[in-house]
Amino acid sequence: MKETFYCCLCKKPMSTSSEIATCSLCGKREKADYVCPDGHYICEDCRLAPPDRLIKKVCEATRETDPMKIALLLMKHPAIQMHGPEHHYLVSSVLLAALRNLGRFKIDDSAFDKAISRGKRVLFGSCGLWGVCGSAAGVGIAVSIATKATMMSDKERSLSMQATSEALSDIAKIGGPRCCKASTFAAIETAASFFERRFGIKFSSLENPRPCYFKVLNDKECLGDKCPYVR
Amino acid sequence: MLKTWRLLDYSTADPKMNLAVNEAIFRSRREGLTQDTLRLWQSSNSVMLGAPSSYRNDVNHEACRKYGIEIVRAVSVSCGVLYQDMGSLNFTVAADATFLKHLIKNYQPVLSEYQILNEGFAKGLQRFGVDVKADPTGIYIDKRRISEALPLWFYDFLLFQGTIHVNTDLDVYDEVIRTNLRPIRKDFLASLSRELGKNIQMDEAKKAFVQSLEERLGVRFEEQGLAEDEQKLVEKLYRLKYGLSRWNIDSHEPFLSGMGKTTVEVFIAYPPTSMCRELIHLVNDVVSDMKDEVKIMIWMRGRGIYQHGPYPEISSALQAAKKRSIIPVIIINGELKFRESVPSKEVLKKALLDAL
Repeated sequence: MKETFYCCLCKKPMSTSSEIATCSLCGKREKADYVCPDGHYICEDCRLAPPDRLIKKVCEATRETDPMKIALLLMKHPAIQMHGPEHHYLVSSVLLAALRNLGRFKIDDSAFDKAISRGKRVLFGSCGLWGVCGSAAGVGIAVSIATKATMMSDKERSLSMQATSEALSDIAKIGGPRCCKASTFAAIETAASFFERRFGIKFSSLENPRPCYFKVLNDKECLGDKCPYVR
Repeated sequence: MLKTWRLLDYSTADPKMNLAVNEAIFRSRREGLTQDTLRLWQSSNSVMLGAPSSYRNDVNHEACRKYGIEIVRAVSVSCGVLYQDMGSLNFTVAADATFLKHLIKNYQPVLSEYQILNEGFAKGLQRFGVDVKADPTGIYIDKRRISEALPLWFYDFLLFQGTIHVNTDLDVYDEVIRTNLRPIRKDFLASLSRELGKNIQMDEAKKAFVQSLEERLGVRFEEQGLAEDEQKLVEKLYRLKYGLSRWNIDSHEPFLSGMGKTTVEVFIAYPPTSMCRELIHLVNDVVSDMKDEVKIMIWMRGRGIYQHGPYPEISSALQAAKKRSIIPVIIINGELKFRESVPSKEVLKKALLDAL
């Protein structure tokens, strides 16, 4: 194939390579085929991975303490559609990854399996159909897993629901039609504020997702100036 | 200068073949190989089901056996059960519908296109002195339906195939249709002959509809036959789709792109991995001596639906693979054949030959 491929992380044209490179997503080292001028390389396994496997791999491997940075990295991968239910478990997984890297709560790799399995139960379109955006539910799921809440818990259960509620409120303010990227950004920002207020945990300063990297992929439904992440 | 449309006055006795002709002229129009087309045709006694309609529940099979009526299925977006006999005049419009929106005030997408075409045919009925009204769902005398259609869209292209009850035997119609979609009784149906108390010559009816459509659409019809490519496609569609109970009974159709070439869809990663590259190489190798009959479409994950032009055709199997992120896959004529592995050359070749 003589086609030019563009790096999904920086959009620069990639060139062929036969050097050993490190996957920009999961950190795996292998013989590269296409590398961009900024040195980005996505390993073969990450390129073939479905969203749940990709999110788990990246969240397990990352040492990043900014959940927004992890989310942006993941959402640039072609497995994560512009809009889709994978955002529901992406939010909880990146929050748990950042919390684990901060050394707060006891979060092991099984936490990501739980986050993905719970997030998958939130249906595509649940924002409009149930009044519960999956990204907001993702914040509650992260709090629930971190605090080991169950339906029988007292404070932990309340905190999980409050987290979802705050995220929902902030996402609802954006308006519609839905944008899974804007909802993800809002959910992570709300979660950061929530963890700071309720647990005294400060994530490293969140990467600013503005102006939205994904606007070009959403030209028909983008909220444009109405969206706080486009401005 | 008036836009010229092809007028295709072409019928075969076989209702299945007639529907294959309709799809062939629609595909040909979509591909830009022919002009907008009006086809007028007649068929032996048959019930024409809309694509989503139920073969088992919507038709009285006993009555069909009694009268020797064939049950066929048309491509359409809507349910519908249309009866036709040699007294019915069938029409097919295969057109780029973008120009229709300028022919109506208060344009409403989809409904206005149906309204305009029904108005054109209604004007033809009015030439016989009957008082008819057209709306997007059909043409009516009072509340009795005299014409109905099954539409299909492909982006801006419209296939509008239907029936006008010129001399249709409404008693038989009433007996063969069994549907939960709408109450069908003689009181709800009308035919031109019943209204006028005499049979109408079909040539006379055709002439009236052609003239009235010319007036309503502001076009000029030029009589032409089927193009050679269309004829070939008719045969293929009959063999792979309309002649098979798999389509007529079970509503299961093969995925054929464009002018009906056997289609191999390959869904791969972006950029392609070594396995994806191997797969593409293999597919190209196997298809190299069948290039005239097989079309390869490589789809890369995350690159959007316009990777192959402004009117993408994507099989439901590919949509499912994309949704479930199964890569790489090979889909032949809409059937997922190989997933997440590279088949041997022999196995892939056999799968392709079977599809051909």
